[in-house]
Amino acid sequence: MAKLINNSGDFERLFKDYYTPMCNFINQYVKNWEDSEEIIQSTFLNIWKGRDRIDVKGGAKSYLFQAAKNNMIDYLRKRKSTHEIDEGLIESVESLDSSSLDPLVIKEVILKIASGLKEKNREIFILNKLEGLTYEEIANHLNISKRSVEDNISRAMKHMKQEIEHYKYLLK
Amino acid sequence: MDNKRLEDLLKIASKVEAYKPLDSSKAFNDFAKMHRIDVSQKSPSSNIRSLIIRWSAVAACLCMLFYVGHKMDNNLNSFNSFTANDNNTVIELPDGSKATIEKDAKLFYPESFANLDTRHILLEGNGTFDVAHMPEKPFVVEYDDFNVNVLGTIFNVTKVSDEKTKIANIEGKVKVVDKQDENNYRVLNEGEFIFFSKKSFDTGIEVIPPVSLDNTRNHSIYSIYEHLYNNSAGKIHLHNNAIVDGKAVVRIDLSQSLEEIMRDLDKKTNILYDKEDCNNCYIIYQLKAKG
Repeated sequence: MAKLINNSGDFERLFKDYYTPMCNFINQYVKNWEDSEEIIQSTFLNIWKGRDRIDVKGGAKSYLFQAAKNNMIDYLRKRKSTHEIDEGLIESVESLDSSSLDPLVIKEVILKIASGLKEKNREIFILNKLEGLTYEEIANHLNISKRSVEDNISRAMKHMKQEIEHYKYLLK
Repeated sequence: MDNKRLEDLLKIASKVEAYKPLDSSKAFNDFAKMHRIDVSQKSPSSNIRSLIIRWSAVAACLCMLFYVGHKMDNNLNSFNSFTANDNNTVIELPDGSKATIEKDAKLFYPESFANLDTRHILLEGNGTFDVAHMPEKPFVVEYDDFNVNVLGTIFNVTKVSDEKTKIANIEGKVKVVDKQDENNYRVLNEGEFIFFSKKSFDTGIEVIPPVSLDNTRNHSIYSIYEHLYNNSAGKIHLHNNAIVDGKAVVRIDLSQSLEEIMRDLDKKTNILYDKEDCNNCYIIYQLKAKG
Protein backbone atom coordinates (compact mmCIF):
# COMPACT_ATOMS: atom_id res chain seq x y z
CA MET A 1 0.00 0.00 0.00
CA ALA A 2 1.25 3.45 -0.84
CA LYS A 3 -0.04 6.95 -0.31
CA LEU A 4 -1.92 8.26 -3.33
CA ILE A 5 -0.46 11.70 -2.82
CA ASN A 6 2.26 12.90 -0.51
CA ASN A 7 2.10 16.61 -1.18
CA SER A 8 0.42 19.21 -3.34
CA GLY A 9 2.97 18.59 -6.10
CA ASP A 10 1.77 14.99 -6.43
CA PHE A 11 -1.80 16.20 -6.41
CA GLU A 12 -1.13 18.78 -9.13
CA ARG A 13 0.48 16.17 -11.32
CA LEU A 14 -2.37 13.72 -10.80
CA PHE A 15 -4.91 16.42 -11.59
CA LYS A 16 -3.15 17.60 -14.73
CA ASP A 17 -2.57 14.07 -16.01
CA TYR A 18 -6.10 12.81 -15.57
CA TYR A 19 -8.45 15.80 -15.52
CA THR A 20 -9.12 15.95 -19.27
CA PRO A 21 -9.39 12.21 -20.01
CA MET A 22 -11.62 11.72 -16.97
CA CYS A 23 -13.93 14.58 -17.93
CA ASN A 24 -14.20 13.08 -21.41
CA PHE A 25 -14.91 9.69 -19.91
CA ILE A 26 -17.68 11.00 -17.65
CA ASN A 27 -19.19 13.02 -20.46
CA GLN A 28 -19.65 9.88 -22.54
CA TYR A 29 -22.40 8.93 -20.08
CA VAL A 30 -23.52 12.20 -18.53
CA LYS A 31 -23.68 14.10 -21.85
CA ASN A 32 -23.20 17.44 -20.18
CA TRP A 33 -19.77 19.07 -20.04
CA GLU A 34 -20.46 21.35 -17.12
CA ASP A 35 -21.73 18.49 -15.00
CA SER A 36 -18.90 16.21 -16.13
CA GLU A 37 -16.29 18.72 -15.02
CA GLU A 38 -18.15 19.19 -11.75
CA ILE A 39 -18.13 15.46 -11.09
CA ILE A 40 -14.39 15.26 -11.70
CA GLN A 41 -13.66 18.35 -9.64
CA SER A 42 -15.68 16.93 -6.80
CA THR A 43 -13.70 13.68 -7.12
CA PHE A 44 -10.42 15.54 -6.91
CA LEU A 45 -11.68 17.63 -4.01
CA ASN A 46 -12.52 14.48 -2.05
CA ILE A 47 -9.07 13.12 -2.80
CA TRP A 48 -7.45 16.33 -1.64
CA LYS A 49 -9.49 16.40 1.55
CA GLY A 50 -8.73 12.75 2.29
CA ARG A 51 -5.11 12.85 1.20
CA ASP A 52 -3.76 11.86 4.60
CA ARG A 53 -5.76 8.66 4.74
CA ILE A 54 -5.94 7.50 1.13
CA ASP A 55 -3.64 4.57 0.48
CA VAL A 56 -3.78 2.80 -2.84
CA LYS A 57 -2.92 -0.70 -3.87
CA GLY A 58 -3.85 -0.84 -7.53
CA GLY A 59 -2.30 2.41 -8.68
CA ALA A 60 -3.53 5.98 -8.98
CA LYS A 61 -5.52 5.43 -12.15
CA SER A 62 -7.64 2.64 -10.67
CA TYR A 63 -8.37 4.66 -7.56
CA LEU A 64 -9.27 7.78 -9.49
CA PHE A 65 -11.42 5.83 -11.88
CA GLN A 66 -13.36 4.12 -9.10
CA ALA A 67 -13.86 7.39 -7.21
CA ALA A 68 -15.06 9.20 -10.34
CA LYS A 69 -17.31 6.29 -11.32
CA ASN A 70 -18.96 6.31 -7.88
CA ASN A 71 -19.57 10.04 -8.12
CA MET A 72 -21.04 9.61 -11.59
CA ILE A 73 -23.38 6.85 -10.40
CA ASP A 74 -24.58 9.09 -7.54
CA TYR A 75 -25.15 11.87 -10.04
CA LEU A 76 -27.08 9.62 -12.43
CA ARG A 77 -29.24 8.24 -9.61
CA LYS A 78 -30.13 11.74 -8.44
CA ARG A 79 -31.08 12.72 -11.95
CA LYS A 80 -33.06 9.55 -12.50
CA SER A 81 -36.09 10.95 -10.67
CA THR A 82 -36.26 14.14 -12.69
CA HIS A 83 -34.73 13.13 -16.01
CA GLU A 84 -35.17 10.26 -18.37
CA ILE A 85 -32.26 8.18 -17.23
CA ASP A 86 -32.43 4.53 -17.96
CA GLU A 87 -31.54 2.13 -15.15
CA GLY A 88 -29.67 0.21 -17.84
CA LEU A 89 -27.27 3.14 -18.21
CA ILE A 90 -26.46 3.05 -14.51
CA GLU A 91 -25.95 -0.69 -14.65
CA SER A 92 -23.62 -0.42 -17.59
CA VAL A 93 -21.61 2.29 -15.78
CA GLU A 94 -21.39 0.03 -12.73
CA SER A 95 -19.85 -2.72 -14.82
CA LEU A 96 -17.02 -0.54 -16.18
CA ASP A 97 -13.48 -1.05 -15.00
CA SER A 98 -10.50 1.28 -15.07
CA SER A 99 -9.30 -0.02 -18.43
CA SER A 100 -12.17 2.01 -19.94
CA LEU A 101 -10.09 5.07 -19.19
CA ASP A 102 -6.98 3.85 -21.05
CA PRO A 103 -7.88 4.94 -24.60
CA LEU A 104 -8.73 8.41 -23.32
CA VAL A 105 -5.46 8.70 -21.42
CA ILE A 106 -3.59 7.58 -24.54
CA LYS A 107 -5.45 10.12 -26.67
CA GLU A 108 -4.63 12.87 -24.20
CA VAL A 109 -0.94 11.97 -24.21
CA ILE A 110 -0.82 11.86 -28.03
CA LEU A 111 -2.56 15.22 -28.33
CA LYS A 112 -0.33 16.77 -25.69
CA ILE A 113 2.78 15.65 -27.55
CA ALA A 114 1.33 16.70 -30.89
CA SER A 115 0.74 20.18 -29.50
CA GLY A 116 4.52 20.58 -29.54
CA LEU A 117 4.60 20.20 -33.32
CA LYS A 118 4.41 23.08 -35.75
CA GLU A 119 0.86 23.80 -36.86
CA LYS A 120 1.13 22.33 -40.35
CA ASN A 121 3.05 19.32 -39.13
CA ARG A 122 0.49 18.73 -36.39
CA GLU A 123 -2.41 18.99 -38.82
CA ILE A 124 -0.86 16.45 -41.19
CA PHE A 125 0.00 14.11 -38.33
CA ILE A 126 -3.52 14.25 -36.88
CA LEU A 127 -5.18 13.79 -40.26
CA ASN A 128 -3.11 10.69 -40.91
CA LYS A 129 -2.65 9.05 -37.55
CA LEU A 130 -5.81 10.02 -35.70
CA GLU A 131 -8.31 10.60 -38.46
CA GLY A 132 -7.11 7.87 -40.76
CA LEU A 133 -6.64 9.84 -43.99
CA THR A 134 -4.13 8.39 -46.45
CA TYR A 135 -1.07 10.33 -47.60
CA GLU A 136 -2.74 10.90 -50.93
CA GLU A 137 -5.96 12.19 -49.39
CA ILE A 138 -4.00 14.58 -47.19
CA ALA A 139 -1.93 15.79 -50.15
CA ASN A 140 -5.11 16.52 -52.10
CA HIS A 141 -6.84 18.08 -49.12
CA LEU A 142 -3.94 20.42 -48.32
CA ASN A 143 -2.77 20.89 -51.89
CA ILE A 144 0.75 19.67 -51.19
CA SER A 145 2.83 16.85 -52.59
CA LYS A 146 2.59 13.31 -51.28
CA ARG A 147 6.31 13.46 -50.57
CA SER A 148 5.78 16.48 -48.35
CA VAL A 149 3.12 14.56 -46.41
CA GLU A 150 5.54 11.66 -45.95
CA ASP A 151 8.27 13.98 -44.71
CA ASN A 152 5.90 15.62 -42.26
CA ILE A 153 4.72 12.30 -40.89
CA SER A 154 8.28 11.11 -40.52
CA ARG A 155 9.25 14.24 -38.56
CA ALA A 156 6.15 14.05 -36.41
CA MET A 157 6.76 10.40 -35.60
CA LYS A 158 10.32 11.15 -34.59
CA HIS A 159 9.07 13.86 -32.26
CA MET A 160 6.36 11.56 -30.94
CA LYS A 161 8.82 8.77 -30.24
CA GLN A 162 11.11 11.04 -28.28
CA GLU A 163 8.46 12.82 -26.27
CA ILE A 164 6.38 9.80 -25.41
CA GLU A 165 9.21 8.62 -23.17
CA HIS A 166 8.16 11.35 -20.71
CA TYR A 167 4.67 9.87 -20.46
CA LYS A 168 5.57 6.20 -20.12
CA TYR A 169 4.29 6.16 -16.55
CA LEU A 170 0.79 6.92 -17.86
CA LEU A 171 0.86 4.29 -20.57
CA LYS A 172 1.72 1.17 -18.61
CA MET B 1 9.43 2.84 -27.06
CA ASP B 2 9.48 0.79 -30.24
CA ASN B 3 7.62 1.74 -33.42
CA LYS B 4 5.09 -1.03 -33.09
CA ARG B 5 4.03 0.02 -29.61
CA LEU B 6 3.75 3.63 -30.76
CA GLU B 7 1.65 2.61 -33.77
CA ASP B 8 -0.57 0.55 -31.48
CA LEU B 9 -1.09 3.53 -29.19
CA LEU B 10 -1.93 5.74 -32.18
CA LYS B 11 -4.46 3.18 -33.36
CA ILE B 12 -6.11 3.16 -29.94
CA ALA B 13 -6.15 6.97 -29.86
CA SER B 14 -7.65 7.13 -33.34
CA LYS B 15 -10.62 5.09 -32.18
CA VAL B 16 -11.55 7.62 -29.51
CA GLU B 17 -14.17 9.86 -31.04
CA ALA B 18 -15.47 13.25 -29.95
CA TYR B 19 -12.59 13.85 -27.58
CA LYS B 20 -12.61 17.36 -26.20
CA PRO B 21 -9.20 18.75 -25.19
CA LEU B 22 -9.41 20.85 -22.02
CA ASP B 23 -6.85 23.17 -20.48
CA SER B 24 -5.93 21.08 -17.44
CA SER B 25 -3.39 23.63 -16.20
CA LYS B 26 -6.00 26.36 -16.10
CA ALA B 27 -8.50 23.96 -14.55
CA PHE B 28 -5.98 23.08 -11.85
CA ASN B 29 -5.10 26.71 -11.14
CA ASP B 30 -8.78 27.63 -10.82
CA PHE B 31 -9.39 24.59 -8.67
CA ALA B 32 -6.40 25.31 -6.39
CA LYS B 33 -7.47 28.92 -6.04
CA MET B 34 -11.07 28.05 -5.27
CA HIS B 35 -10.15 25.44 -2.67
CA ARG B 36 -7.12 27.30 -1.34
CA ILE B 37 -4.70 24.53 -2.10
CA ASP B 38 -1.17 25.52 -1.38
CA VAL B 39 0.76 24.39 -4.44
CA SER B 40 4.13 25.20 -2.95
CA GLN B 41 4.71 21.86 -1.21
CA LYS B 42 6.09 20.08 -4.22
CA SER B 43 7.98 16.88 -4.59
CA PRO B 44 11.66 17.23 -5.44
CA SER B 45 11.08 16.54 -9.13
CA SER B 46 8.32 19.06 -9.51
CA ASN B 47 10.33 21.58 -7.53
CA ILE B 48 12.98 21.47 -10.19
CA ARG B 49 10.37 22.05 -12.83
CA SER B 50 8.89 25.11 -11.30
CA LEU B 51 11.63 26.66 -9.27
CA ILE B 52 11.37 30.30 -9.97
CA ILE B 53 14.37 32.55 -10.06
CA ARG B 54 15.28 35.97 -11.41
CA TRP B 55 15.04 37.63 -14.79
CA SER B 56 14.08 36.83 -18.29
CA ALA B 57 11.37 37.82 -20.60
CA VAL B 58 9.10 37.17 -23.49
CA ALA B 59 8.69 33.73 -24.77
CA ALA B 60 7.82 31.74 -27.66
CA CYS B 61 9.26 29.68 -30.35
CA LEU B 62 7.46 26.56 -31.31
CA CYS B 63 9.86 23.91 -32.28
CA MET B 64 10.02 20.50 -33.78
CA LEU B 65 12.10 17.70 -32.51
CA PHE B 66 13.29 16.64 -35.92
CA TYR B 67 15.02 20.00 -36.09
CA VAL B 68 17.45 18.69 -33.55
CA GLY B 69 18.38 15.71 -35.63
CA HIS B 70 20.60 17.68 -37.93
CA LYS B 71 21.24 20.56 -35.58
CA MET B 72 22.82 18.66 -32.77
CA ASP B 73 26.20 17.08 -32.77
CA ASN B 74 26.25 14.06 -35.03
CA ASN B 75 28.00 12.06 -32.35
CA LEU B 76 25.08 12.48 -30.08
CA ASN B 77 23.43 9.17 -29.52
CA SER B 78 20.82 10.15 -26.98
CA PHE B 79 19.61 13.45 -25.74
CA ASN B 80 16.90 14.88 -23.58
CA SER B 81 14.36 17.42 -24.62
CA PHE B 82 12.52 19.57 -22.15
CA THR B 83 9.67 22.01 -22.68
CA ALA B 84 9.00 24.49 -19.89
CA ASN B 85 5.43 24.61 -18.66
CA ASP B 86 6.14 27.60 -16.43
CA ASN B 87 8.31 30.66 -16.58
CA ASN B 88 11.77 30.43 -15.04
CA THR B 89 11.97 26.67 -15.10
CA VAL B 90 15.39 25.52 -13.98
CA ILE B 91 17.05 22.55 -15.62
CA GLU B 92 20.29 21.16 -14.35
CA LEU B 93 22.45 19.95 -17.22
CA PRO B 94 24.72 16.89 -16.95
CA ASP B 95 27.81 19.07 -16.31
CA GLY B 96 26.13 20.95 -13.45
CA SER B 97 25.34 24.03 -15.56
CA LYS B 98 21.92 25.49 -14.95
CA ALA B 99 19.51 26.59 -17.64
CA THR B 100 16.59 28.79 -16.63
CA ILE B 101 14.09 28.78 -19.44
CA GLU B 102 10.85 30.61 -20.02
CA LYS B 103 7.41 29.13 -20.55
CA ASP B 104 7.15 27.19 -23.83
CA ALA B 105 10.90 27.38 -24.41
CA LYS B 106 12.51 24.10 -25.38
CA LEU B 107 15.91 22.85 -24.51
CA PHE B 108 17.67 19.91 -26.11
CA TYR B 109 20.75 18.52 -24.48
CA PRO B 110 22.66 15.26 -24.40
CA GLU B 111 22.20 12.84 -21.54
CA SER B 112 25.91 13.07 -20.98
CA PHE B 113 28.71 15.31 -22.17
CA ALA B 114 31.30 12.69 -21.28
CA ASN B 115 32.27 11.56 -24.78
CA LEU B 116 31.78 14.88 -26.50
CA ASP B 117 34.34 17.57 -27.29
CA THR B 118 31.90 20.37 -26.66
CA ARG B 119 28.90 20.82 -24.43
CA HIS B 120 26.55 21.59 -27.31
CA ILE B 121 22.89 22.24 -26.55
CA LEU B 122 19.98 23.71 -28.49
CA LEU B 123 17.57 26.35 -27.26
CA GLU B 124 14.22 27.37 -28.73
CA GLY B 125 12.73 30.32 -26.86
CA ASN B 126 14.23 32.38 -24.07
CA GLY B 127 16.70 31.25 -21.48
CA THR B 128 19.43 32.18 -19.05
CA PHE B 129 22.47 29.98 -18.55
CA ASP B 130 24.74 29.66 -15.57
CA VAL B 131 27.55 27.64 -17.07
CA ALA B 132 29.86 25.33 -15.12
CA HIS B 133 33.49 26.26 -15.66
CA MET B 134 35.15 23.63 -17.87
CA PRO B 135 37.67 25.40 -20.09
CA GLU B 136 38.67 22.16 -21.81
CA LYS B 137 35.11 21.61 -22.97
CA PRO B 138 33.47 24.69 -24.49
CA PHE B 139 29.81 25.23 -23.85
CA VAL B 140 27.84 26.13 -26.98
CA VAL B 141 24.22 27.22 -27.06
CA GLU B 142 22.79 26.99 -30.52
CA TYR B 143 19.97 29.37 -31.36
CA ASP B 144 18.13 30.43 -34.55
CA ASP B 145 20.94 31.99 -36.54
CA PHE B 146 23.82 32.11 -34.13
CA ASN B 147 25.80 30.12 -31.61
CA VAL B 148 26.92 31.39 -28.25
CA ASN B 149 30.29 29.89 -27.27
CA VAL B 150 31.12 30.02 -23.59
CA LEU B 151 33.96 29.13 -21.28
CA GLY B 152 32.28 29.77 -17.97
CA THR B 153 29.70 32.46 -17.48
CA ILE B 154 26.14 33.55 -16.90
CA PHE B 155 24.31 34.86 -19.89
CA ASN B 156 20.81 35.32 -21.15
CA VAL B 157 19.16 34.91 -24.55
CA THR B 158 15.88 36.71 -25.16
CA LYS B 159 13.87 36.84 -28.33
CA VAL B 160 12.80 40.46 -28.61
CA SER B 161 10.81 39.97 -31.80
CA ASP B 162 10.66 37.46 -34.65
CA GLU B 163 13.71 39.03 -36.17
CA LYS B 164 15.64 40.34 -33.22
CA THR B 165 17.29 38.50 -30.35
CA LYS B 166 19.13 39.98 -27.41
CA ILE B 167 22.13 38.20 -25.95
CA ALA B 168 23.14 39.67 -22.60
CA ASN B 169 26.32 38.54 -20.90
CA ILE B 170 26.02 38.86 -17.16
CA GLU B 171 29.27 37.31 -16.01
CA GLY B 172 32.43 36.02 -17.70
CA LYS B 173 32.90 36.15 -21.45
CA VAL B 174 30.97 34.81 -24.43
CA LYS B 175 31.50 34.79 -28.15
CA VAL B 176 28.43 35.13 -30.37
CA VAL B 177 29.01 33.64 -33.80
CA ASP B 178 26.85 34.10 -36.87
CA LYS B 179 26.04 30.59 -38.08
CA GLN B 180 26.10 31.67 -41.72
CA ASP B 181 29.47 33.35 -41.46
CA GLU B 182 31.84 32.20 -38.74
CA ASN B 183 34.02 35.28 -39.28
CA ASN B 184 31.13 37.43 -38.22
CA TYR B 185 31.23 37.31 -34.44
CA ARG B 186 31.40 39.51 -31.38
CA VAL B 187 32.96 38.81 -28.00
CA LEU B 188 30.91 40.09 -25.08
CA ASN B 189 32.51 41.04 -21.81
CA GLU B 190 30.68 41.26 -18.50
CA GLY B 191 27.62 43.46 -18.62
CA GLU B 192 27.61 43.79 -22.39
CA PHE B 193 24.80 42.77 -24.60
CA ILE B 194 24.03 42.69 -28.30
CA PHE B 195 21.07 42.48 -30.55
CA PHE B 196 21.27 39.98 -33.32
CA SER B 197 18.86 40.81 -36.08
CA LYS B 198 18.19 38.91 -39.25
CA LYS B 199 17.44 42.14 -41.03
CA SER B 200 20.73 43.71 -40.10
CA PHE B 201 22.52 40.52 -40.91
CA ASP B 202 25.02 42.14 -43.23
CA THR B 203 25.85 44.96 -40.92
CA GLY B 204 26.94 42.68 -38.12
CA ILE B 205 26.27 43.06 -34.44
CA GLU B 206 26.19 46.18 -32.37
CA VAL B 207 27.91 45.98 -29.00
CA ILE B 208 26.38 48.25 -26.40
CA PRO B 209 28.36 48.84 -23.22
CA PRO B 210 26.49 48.70 -19.94
CA VAL B 211 25.19 51.90 -18.45
CA SER B 212 25.55 52.54 -14.76
CA LEU B 213 23.61 55.37 -13.22
CA ASP B 214 24.11 57.27 -10.01
CA ASN B 215 20.96 57.39 -7.89
CA THR B 216 21.65 60.87 -6.56
CA ARG B 217 21.61 62.66 -9.91
CA ASN B 218 19.09 63.47 -12.56
CA HIS B 219 19.41 61.38 -15.67
CA SER B 220 18.01 61.55 -19.12
CA ILE B 221 14.96 59.43 -19.61
CA TYR B 222 16.74 57.43 -22.25
CA SER B 223 19.68 56.69 -19.93
CA ILE B 224 17.22 55.43 -17.38
CA TYR B 225 15.63 53.22 -19.96
CA GLU B 226 19.04 51.90 -21.01
CA HIS B 227 19.96 51.26 -17.39
CA LEU B 228 16.75 49.33 -16.83
CA TYR B 229 17.22 47.43 -20.03
CA ASN B 230 20.72 46.39 -19.10
CA ASN B 231 19.82 45.38 -15.60
CA SER B 232 16.47 43.74 -16.07
CA ALA B 233 17.74 40.96 -18.33
CA GLY B 234 15.08 41.36 -20.94
CA LYS B 235 12.12 42.43 -18.83
CA ILE B 236 11.91 45.83 -20.46
CA HIS B 237 11.43 46.44 -24.15
CA LEU B 238 10.83 49.47 -26.29
CA HIS B 239 8.10 49.00 -28.84
CA ASN B 240 9.38 49.32 -32.42
CA ASN B 241 7.49 52.59 -32.87
CA ALA B 242 8.07 53.88 -29.36
CA ILE B 243 8.48 57.61 -28.80
CA VAL B 244 11.32 58.41 -26.41
CA ASP B 245 12.34 61.89 -25.39
CA GLY B 246 16.10 61.56 -25.10
CA LYS B 247 16.75 65.02 -23.65
CA ALA B 248 14.33 65.23 -20.75
CA VAL B 249 15.83 64.47 -17.35
CA VAL B 250 14.26 63.01 -14.25
CA ARG B 251 15.43 61.61 -10.91
CA ILE B 252 14.45 58.04 -10.19
CA ASP B 253 15.65 55.87 -7.33
CA LEU B 254 17.13 53.00 -9.30
CA SER B 255 17.73 50.88 -6.22
CA GLN B 256 14.02 50.06 -6.15
CA SER B 257 12.49 46.99 -7.69
CA LEU B 258 11.57 47.13 -11.34
CA GLU B 259 7.88 47.35 -10.47
CA GLU B 260 8.53 50.31 -8.15
CA ILE B 261 10.69 52.04 -10.75
CA MET B 262 7.94 51.66 -13.32
CA ARG B 263 5.43 53.15 -10.87
CA ASP B 264 7.85 56.00 -10.18
CA LEU B 265 8.31 56.62 -13.88
CA ASP B 266 4.55 56.59 -14.21
CA LYS B 267 4.34 59.43 -11.67
CA LYS B 268 7.24 61.49 -12.92
CA THR B 269 7.13 61.05 -16.68
CA ASN B 270 4.63 60.69 -19.42
CA ILE B 271 5.14 56.98 -19.88
CA LEU B 272 2.89 54.53 -21.67
CA TYR B 273 3.58 50.88 -21.17
CA ASP B 274 1.87 47.54 -21.23
CA LYS B 275 2.49 44.51 -19.10
CA GLU B 276 -0.49 42.33 -19.85
CA ASP B 277 0.42 41.26 -23.39
CA CYS B 278 4.06 40.81 -22.63
CA ASN B 279 4.29 37.71 -20.49
CA ASN B 280 5.57 39.31 -17.33
CA CYS B 281 7.68 41.96 -19.02
CA TYR B 282 7.09 45.60 -19.91
CA ILE B 283 6.70 47.00 -23.41
CA ILE B 284 7.18 50.74 -23.47
CA TYR B 285 5.26 52.65 -26.12
CA GLN B 286 6.13 56.16 -25.01
CA LEU B 287 8.65 57.66 -22.60
CA LYS B 288 8.50 61.43 -22.49
CA ALA B 289 8.81 64.26 -20.02
CA LYS B 290 5.61 65.47 -18.36
CA GLY B 291 3.80 68.44 -19.78
